[in-house]
Amino acid sequence: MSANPSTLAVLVIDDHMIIRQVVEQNLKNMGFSDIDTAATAAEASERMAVRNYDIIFIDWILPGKSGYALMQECREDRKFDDVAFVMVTSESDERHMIEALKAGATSYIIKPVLANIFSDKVKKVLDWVAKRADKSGAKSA
Amino acid sequence: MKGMTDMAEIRTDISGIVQSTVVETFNGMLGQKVVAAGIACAAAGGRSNRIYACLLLDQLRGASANFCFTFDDKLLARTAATFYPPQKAQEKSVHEDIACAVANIVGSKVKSCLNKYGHNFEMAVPFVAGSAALPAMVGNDVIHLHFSWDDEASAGVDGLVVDFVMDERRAGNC
Repeated sequence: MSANPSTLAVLVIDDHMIIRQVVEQNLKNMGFSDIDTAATAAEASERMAVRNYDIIFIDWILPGKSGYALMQECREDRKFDDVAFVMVTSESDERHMIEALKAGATSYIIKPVLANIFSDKVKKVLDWVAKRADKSGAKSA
Repeated sequence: MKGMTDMAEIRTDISGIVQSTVVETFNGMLGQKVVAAGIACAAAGGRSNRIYACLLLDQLRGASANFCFTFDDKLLARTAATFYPPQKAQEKSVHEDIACAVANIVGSKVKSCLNKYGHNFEMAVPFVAGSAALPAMVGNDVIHLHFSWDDEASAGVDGLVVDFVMDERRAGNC
């Protein structure tokens, strides 16, 4: 079972405006509607401080603090246990991919962002979100 | 590990990666029909409506690869119009952002290819440069990759030219 995209809050973090637009457009095509964006880790932290997100799309390299470092920080905070982190990056080495997954990325998408690959990966992330919600529900019940 | 002396083979590999990544980025991500138009001996001629994005790959032992992406601004404007409202799509900063995003994606793929040869290249953040600050991309070692696009009004004009040179000597900024 997958989570319903229209019920999820999403944050897209990338320093390139065009990549934020591309990701946002792909998400809207999949039925997401609650989408915030941020250009830096600092801006993202401000947004995350005032609201909760279900999925965070994050670029590895950002000006200032990297997206990788931000994700690591978040993963140390229990508040983000059920949040999916999707690394959207130009880093295409297997080494980077493994490093990101070890650091807590739920999925890894290599730029250029291609609609069919993006959609396939995000569908799997929706499954992950649904499973985490079930687990959390079972825990709290 | 292949040394930088295997330059011809590396250059051929990189040309292929640049061509396929540019085409994939424009066609698959940015919604523009761009095709590789070949490898030429001459760099793009001077025109006013161009945006230049530069990129430097560098490694400690002094080897470097300099890239210069010369975009026809009309290609960037049309790309911008696909994603932004009309007024915003005309902004120069939007065009420059697209230029650097493309350079960043292509550069990362090239870095990955070079590092598969056993090197340890790092990539600097791409930046936009004015035509006066561009490197002189001339000589037999420089590769010029031309890309055309399906705009009738721009028939015969390069939508994008990627010039690059690899050198064992440390190079300056692109």
